[in-house]
Amino acid sequence: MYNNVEQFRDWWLKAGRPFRPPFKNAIHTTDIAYALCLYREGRYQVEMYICKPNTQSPMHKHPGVESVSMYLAGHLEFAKDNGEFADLSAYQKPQANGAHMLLGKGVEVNDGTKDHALRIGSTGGAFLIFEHWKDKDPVSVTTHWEGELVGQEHAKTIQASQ
Amino acid sequence: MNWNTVHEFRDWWLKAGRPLRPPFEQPIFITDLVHSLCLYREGKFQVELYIIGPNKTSPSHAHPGVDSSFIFLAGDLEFGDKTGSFIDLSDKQKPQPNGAHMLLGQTIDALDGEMHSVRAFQNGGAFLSFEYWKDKEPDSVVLNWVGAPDGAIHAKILDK
Repeated sequence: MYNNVEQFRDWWLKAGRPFRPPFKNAIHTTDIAYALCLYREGRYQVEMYICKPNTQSPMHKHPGVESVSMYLAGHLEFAKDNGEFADLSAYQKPQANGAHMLLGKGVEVNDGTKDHALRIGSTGGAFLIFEHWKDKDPVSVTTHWEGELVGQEHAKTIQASQ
Repeated sequence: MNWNTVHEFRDWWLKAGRPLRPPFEQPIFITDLVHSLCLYREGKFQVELYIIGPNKTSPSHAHPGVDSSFIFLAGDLEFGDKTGSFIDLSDKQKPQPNGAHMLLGQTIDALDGEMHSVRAFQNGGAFLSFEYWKDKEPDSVVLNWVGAPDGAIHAKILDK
């Protein structure tokens, strides 16, 4: 059905965006975001992140996880591996149908070796992250994290998952 | 679209392939209890997704003028009825053969601003809230709230 994370994303969107959170490890929380796994099948899953306003993650990576993010709502900016955030301020406006100008826009595929980061503006932000876990069964990229943690709640969540 | 009830809207959204079209204005609310995102809004109807953190309980509350229909998604979540009693779902905290929660897709209503509540245990919880705002344009049921706030952050939001 799918051989890479982009094929999985395209399948999920075309298949009517099935919501089938797993019984195990569906919800994860950190100091800046709550995440829900919307769908998991084998080594693939899609998580939804809803993020607090005026927060930022440190640079980090998710080794062994190929991922691609999709913008949903709010004021979000992603940083590339050089630490520079894309300036998306010109796109902080609605489409004619009332949705955000950036709805559905993607961020380039990260093969798990590149650092990235997230910055959230005053309205909060939400995005989907499609994931292919190449080396093990999926849990959450929140717990499969290499780099400085977001805060104490994040540390607790990682500890609880081990 | 010509939905007449919150159930018609809910059934349409599910059959239409769960369209994701959060509004530009006020899609996200964060309280002491929940993080919420409006997934779709059209006229007086909307669906919000709520994620509740672990070991959190809302006070009994109501959303005046709003018909709500909730769909269970994940976690060890329980809804309280208008009397304030929680339904004991502990025997349903297990997976289906496909790995999803036994309660996935189960619905419960709070029509016409009926009192209700929600709580989650150690795994947190998530649900969809389908809403028909009969008297005004929708924002979030987190704002259209009668009852004690769920904490200091929520109280601040309600004060604004």
